Amino acid sequence: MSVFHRGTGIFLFLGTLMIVGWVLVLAIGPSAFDRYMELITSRVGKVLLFAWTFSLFYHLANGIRHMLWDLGWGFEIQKVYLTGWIVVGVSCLLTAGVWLLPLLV
Amino acid sequence: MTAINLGDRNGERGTKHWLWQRISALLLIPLSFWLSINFAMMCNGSYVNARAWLSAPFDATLLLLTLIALLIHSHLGLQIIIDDYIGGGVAKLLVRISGLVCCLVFVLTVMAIIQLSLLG
Repeated sequence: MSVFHRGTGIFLFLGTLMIVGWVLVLAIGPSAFDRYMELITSRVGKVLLFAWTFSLFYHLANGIRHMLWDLGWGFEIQKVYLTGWIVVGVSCLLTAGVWLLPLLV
Repeated sequence: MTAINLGDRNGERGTKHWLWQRISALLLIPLSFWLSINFAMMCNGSYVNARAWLSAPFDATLLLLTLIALLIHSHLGLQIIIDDYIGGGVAKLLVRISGLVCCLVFVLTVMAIIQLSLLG
């Protein structure tokens, strides 16, 4: 799980660059923007975006788990497993939620 | 888990690193939700919508604040990863490069937002 925390962290940094790129093409103009949007909403783009969303929520949830450990809570082995599964479950739920949101609104 | 060679003798810089990592993390909890939800709404691709969103001062400011927290948090995290998996003198150089990249990224974003706000 903690190698995943680092891996998602790196992937999220690349995602930050992707978002910054989005802001930059927005400032450049409509044609650059449209081409950028085509790229990120392509098949490959959507897969990467989905992976980015999951990485975000996984890293966030596991980060909270880390900070609880900082406070000294949750080191017992049953709690480690339980919170680990909660992290994975919450990540899946939030990822699904954010992806379904544009369809509902 | 946090083990970095910052070269100081009393460990003060390591403690600050640990602290700022947590501070930026706490700020990023609400900010990440805000960013991911807004970004998901933007993905219908409309240029006009996207510009309107970034022209709003509240959203632009929040985006910049989120970006600052993200870049601080990323830089601190990358510092650990570089030091753990690369290490040595090269690591120190790479950490400085990553810091410069973060500054560059921030400046470019500010310039883009200024341009979007002034050109309306």
